[in-house]
Amino acid sequence: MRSAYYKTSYWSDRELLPLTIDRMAIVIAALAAAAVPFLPNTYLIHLINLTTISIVGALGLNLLMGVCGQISLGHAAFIATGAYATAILTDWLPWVPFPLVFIFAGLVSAVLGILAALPAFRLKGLYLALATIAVYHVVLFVLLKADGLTGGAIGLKVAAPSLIGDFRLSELSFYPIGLATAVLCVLICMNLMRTKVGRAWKAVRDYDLVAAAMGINLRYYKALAFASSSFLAGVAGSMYAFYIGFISPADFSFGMTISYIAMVIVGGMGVTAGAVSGAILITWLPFIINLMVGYSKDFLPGLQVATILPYMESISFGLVIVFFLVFEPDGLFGIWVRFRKYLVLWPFKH
Amino acid sequence: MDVRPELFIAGIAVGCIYAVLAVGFVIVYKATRTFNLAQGGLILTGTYLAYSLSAAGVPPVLAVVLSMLLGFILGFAIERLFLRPMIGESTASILLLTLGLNEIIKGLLGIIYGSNQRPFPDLFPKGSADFFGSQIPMIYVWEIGISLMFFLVFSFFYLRSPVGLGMRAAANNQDWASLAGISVSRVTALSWGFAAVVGTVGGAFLAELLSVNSSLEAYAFRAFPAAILGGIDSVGGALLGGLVIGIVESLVGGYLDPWLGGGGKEVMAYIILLVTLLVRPYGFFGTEEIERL
Repeated sequence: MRSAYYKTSYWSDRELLPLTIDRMAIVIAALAAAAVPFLPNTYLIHLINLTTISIVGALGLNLLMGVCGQISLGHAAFIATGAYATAILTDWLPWVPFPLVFIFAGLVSAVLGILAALPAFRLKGLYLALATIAVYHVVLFVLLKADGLTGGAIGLKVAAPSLIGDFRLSELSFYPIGLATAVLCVLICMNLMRTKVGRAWKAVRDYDLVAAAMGINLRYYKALAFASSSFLAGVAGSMYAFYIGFISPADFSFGMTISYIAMVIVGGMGVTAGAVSGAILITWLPFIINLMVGYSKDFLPGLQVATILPYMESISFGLVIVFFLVFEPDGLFGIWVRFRKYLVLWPFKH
Repeated sequence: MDVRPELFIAGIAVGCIYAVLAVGFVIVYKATRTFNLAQGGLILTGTYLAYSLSAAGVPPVLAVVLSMLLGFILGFAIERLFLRPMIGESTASILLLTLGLNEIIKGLLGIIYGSNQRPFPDLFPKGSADFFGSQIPMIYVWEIGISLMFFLVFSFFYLRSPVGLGMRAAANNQDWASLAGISVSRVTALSWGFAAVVGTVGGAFLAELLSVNSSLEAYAFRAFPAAILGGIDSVGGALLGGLVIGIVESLVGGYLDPWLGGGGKEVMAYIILLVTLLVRPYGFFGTEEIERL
């Protein structure tokens, strides 16, 4: 019986999905994804589209924070950079096909990521977290003040994406694009974990001095982690810009950074599947809270729903972060691993 | 360019508040080796408590003192409830935990108080004093005086009192400190309590200058640069860092912002933070312990 805990060859150690149960879970997820366009409610499809965007962004933060162990509190800045790069590029060159725009936005964001990594060369851990907060505020300041390019506080309208001629994005027509991009990014991240780069990042996270002693160039791999993380963030920003069609600095608040951090923590730091599940949960959480507050309005007539909703969101993200850090540090993926072990070994305990 | 001394005075007054808030970071860092991102929430809690107490009829100064006490209990309780289970976890996890706590506190206060600006009762006598030909409000004088007094008390506390010495010992090396009979867990809880007290004082001063609203939290984040600039484990450094940040912000607000169209004042602290981290991460007086890699 295969249990994935006992590897008998090097090849089995490098398999992408060694367990049948994981493959089954993916088949079920694929079937669910195929059923989405038939949902009756466009709002649900809208939420799922936002989820695909969050997945890409969360994968990016997971690479940096979960895999390489560098805390970043400036993720929203990289997403904003990607979104603005998209808006400006499509304004200048409207004929560029949108996959190229995604890559361009990612690259612009990656350059900013490398710049933000400069403090990381000298700083470890917590100081780096502060440096990224500072980078975030400086980037937002530039976006607000360079109003000739970015439209300042008012924001920018994003042109429709073009592939062969322009097409108008609706909830339904964005879905395949979002899904394909998210799946592609998931595949890239999962495969990255079993290459030299992925192993080097994990070594840097687990013990940087030992990693350096084993010949891993810390500066190079940290810069690479920042660049890849912000590349994915830039792609997420680009998707967001196309999908929503209008961006302003207010869209990229510090709360966005917190929601992405919550995604990575909830899913399980350092695991690709964790980032995906965290992104799904955190994107749907405000919707669930909205429903719950809506129901509780019947019992509590004096409730000011519209005013308390943003606070409820903030509380729920905070609670989720605290709960998972204290009680379930391995996140949803840790729960899945336990459940999987139970299923695989059933009816035995060990 | 005309010289505007009132900008300096205002900068020093705000700088003293930054310094007081920065001490909150320093205290928690000394005890736990992590940054307390929940400081903004603690500041808001203390300030709103003082506001509510005085709205309920308690004299303003007494309200602040009472909310300092309540803040101490809150800080103590947060440590017991949330940080105690995290002993042995990485400092990064604790940092993210404090970030989550901040969101919870902010959200709860938002539900209770909403986002309206509320006037804070006058703590100090109004009027202004003559200072080399320019008028400075008495509020500034009081705030600067009380902040400096706080620093004297804190320096004395860390240098002389047994609890303060225990805190320094625990900051230096937790294992050795506990071998010497110091209860590290109690020191940590006390530190969180003190951080909340300091936050309440700073928050009350800020509310006195501005008004009570949720944006006071942003000042907590901008006190980070002050703490880093002075050296994250140095109480005296926090004073210097706070003053520098306060004065620079005030000057940028006075001279650059009319030209920029606002906003430069708010981002200046972060630019200083970035430069400090790149050039001299341990700040003016911090211990040089950051490993270069």
